[in-house]
Amino acid sequence: MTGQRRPSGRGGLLSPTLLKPLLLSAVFLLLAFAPFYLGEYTLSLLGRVLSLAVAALGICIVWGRTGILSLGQGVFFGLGGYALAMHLKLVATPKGELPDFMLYNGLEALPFWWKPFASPVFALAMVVLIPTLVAAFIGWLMFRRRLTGVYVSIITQAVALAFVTLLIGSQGYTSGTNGITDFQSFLGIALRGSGYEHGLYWVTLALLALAFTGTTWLLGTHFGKLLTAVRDGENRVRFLGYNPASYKVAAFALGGLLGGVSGALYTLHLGNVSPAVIGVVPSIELVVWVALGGRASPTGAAAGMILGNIAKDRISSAVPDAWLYIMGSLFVLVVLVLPDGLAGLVKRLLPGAARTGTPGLQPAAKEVSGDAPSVL
Amino acid sequence: MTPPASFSPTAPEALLDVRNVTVSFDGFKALTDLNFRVEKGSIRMLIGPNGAGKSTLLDTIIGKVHPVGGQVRYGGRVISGLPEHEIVQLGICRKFQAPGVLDALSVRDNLRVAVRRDKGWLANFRSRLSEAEEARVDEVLTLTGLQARADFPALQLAHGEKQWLEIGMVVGSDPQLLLLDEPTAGMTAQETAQTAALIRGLAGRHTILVIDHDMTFVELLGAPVSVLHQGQLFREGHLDEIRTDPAVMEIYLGRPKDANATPREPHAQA
Repeated sequence: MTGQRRPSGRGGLLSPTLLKPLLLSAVFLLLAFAPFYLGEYTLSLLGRVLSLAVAALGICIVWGRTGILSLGQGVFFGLGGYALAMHLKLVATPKGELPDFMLYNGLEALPFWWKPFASPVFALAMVVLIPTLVAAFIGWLMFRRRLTGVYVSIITQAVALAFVTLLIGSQGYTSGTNGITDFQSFLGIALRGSGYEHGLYWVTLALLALAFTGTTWLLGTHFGKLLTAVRDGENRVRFLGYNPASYKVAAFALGGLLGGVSGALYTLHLGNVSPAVIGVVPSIELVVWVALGGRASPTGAAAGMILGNIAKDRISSAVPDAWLYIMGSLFVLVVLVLPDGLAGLVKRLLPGAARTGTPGLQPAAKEVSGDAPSVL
Repeated sequence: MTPPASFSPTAPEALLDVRNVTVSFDGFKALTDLNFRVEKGSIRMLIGPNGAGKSTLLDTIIGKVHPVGGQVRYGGRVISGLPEHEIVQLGICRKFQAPGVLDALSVRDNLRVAVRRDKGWLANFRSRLSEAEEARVDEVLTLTGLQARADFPALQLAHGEKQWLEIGMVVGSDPQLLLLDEPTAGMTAQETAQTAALIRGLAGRHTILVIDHDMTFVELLGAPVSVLHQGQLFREGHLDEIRTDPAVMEIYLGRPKDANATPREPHAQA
């Protein structure tokens, strides 16, 4: 108990209400100038992980705030990635010809559902719409039936598996295991050269900043508070006259949207998209980094994704064999001692910042209505 | 927002009318052909031994449990079969036995969730509620004596405070019919007395149905008592009559002669 001290921030430079925006602006500036002081390889790595951080914000909304542990975010990531890749492939294919992999697989004409992707506007709209609508539909199927906890995790994981199997199986339409590769240009801009690399990096950073601001705003609205309310007491919310399912579907759709945008950016950074980056294992990896950073906090989730993936790159090139063990141990450690992740740790260490009333996940005291699964 | 339903001319007095309701859990009848009415604007206590069906009755009213027979009418309208949140939107709100506050949200935000009129997700992308809603939040904070705790996460409240917060949430949603399931569970004697005063103060504004075991609380509330036993209405009357009724003692304590607690001659009751 903190006695009668009001938990709102006081003046002074160290007050959490002032410190956090200052720190975030500093980090943003540091990142914005990165192309001028980072090497080519490090910059492309950073750009890639910044694009993943957009998906992390989605997981923060879906898992951290609404309490839905989805092990299938890779599906939405992949849908966004493939929607853009289809356009890029059509641009790279000479007029009147078929994409190379379709020729190898004996297709004679472009499938009708590929055709509209020739338009960049349509493709960009699909990057946003398809993952959002698919997530909304899957969410509606699950939450209408009041599925919660592990059942949701298992179903979303099964969807990820089915999606990858479908992609691999329909080789003529999706290029199967190889994925869609060999892009040339987008909106008339050649996808190579340092000018493009820098531009893509800044676009990624700008979109991440936009997604971050949007997520933070959203979680501060009454809607955002209701997501936390649904997580902590779905029945209480239902018996106050709300329909929790509609809030969960909305949160799940937002997670899908952010996943899709993230996947499209990642496809540009990688120069290809394939089932290898969107299946069950990548989906779980997304969740692990968010857990490490702190799932209930947008800052924590994004930072966990960025730092975790950089660590992965560095450690797995130094000691390739040990990497999986290190990642597994980190996850176990977080689950056991840091339910709020690194964000929770920072919060505990900062003086006076511990009790700001942000909807974090307090350990224990979870038995209230019996419908809130803690981690799995 | 649907306005509370108006009364049908056939039942001008009863806000809640439970008619011949039977609830069965895999063959076990938790409620058997139960008839039960609560008049508009009144407070009613519901007591009965464990397993009498008190909580099941509230579950049935609120739509958590569906009766296999009979119907629940509210304001003249049949509500059994409607989804829970729609029943709540008609003006019935329930406080559950275990305090169901929203841990991570501040006390004020808990009340905002309750007070907010528009329950749809699309309508809630806004940071502040309407002036009237914010004023109602402040009103409920005063009513429950939680002003000093308004900005603390609900998780940090003491047990009694959590109970009050949840009563505040239920009251704040401005229901016509208030269902309170053991509102004083785990409270000290002083807290119980305060809770009784709080509930008595609500009487004019809401119709209230309270379940509780604590006889001091029942006494403090001074409301008519209904006794439920084996899924049926067993007795109805004033606390003094109920307390000295040998049949009621029997269902609570076993055989009446063993109980050895009937100072007066047992009097007949319908």
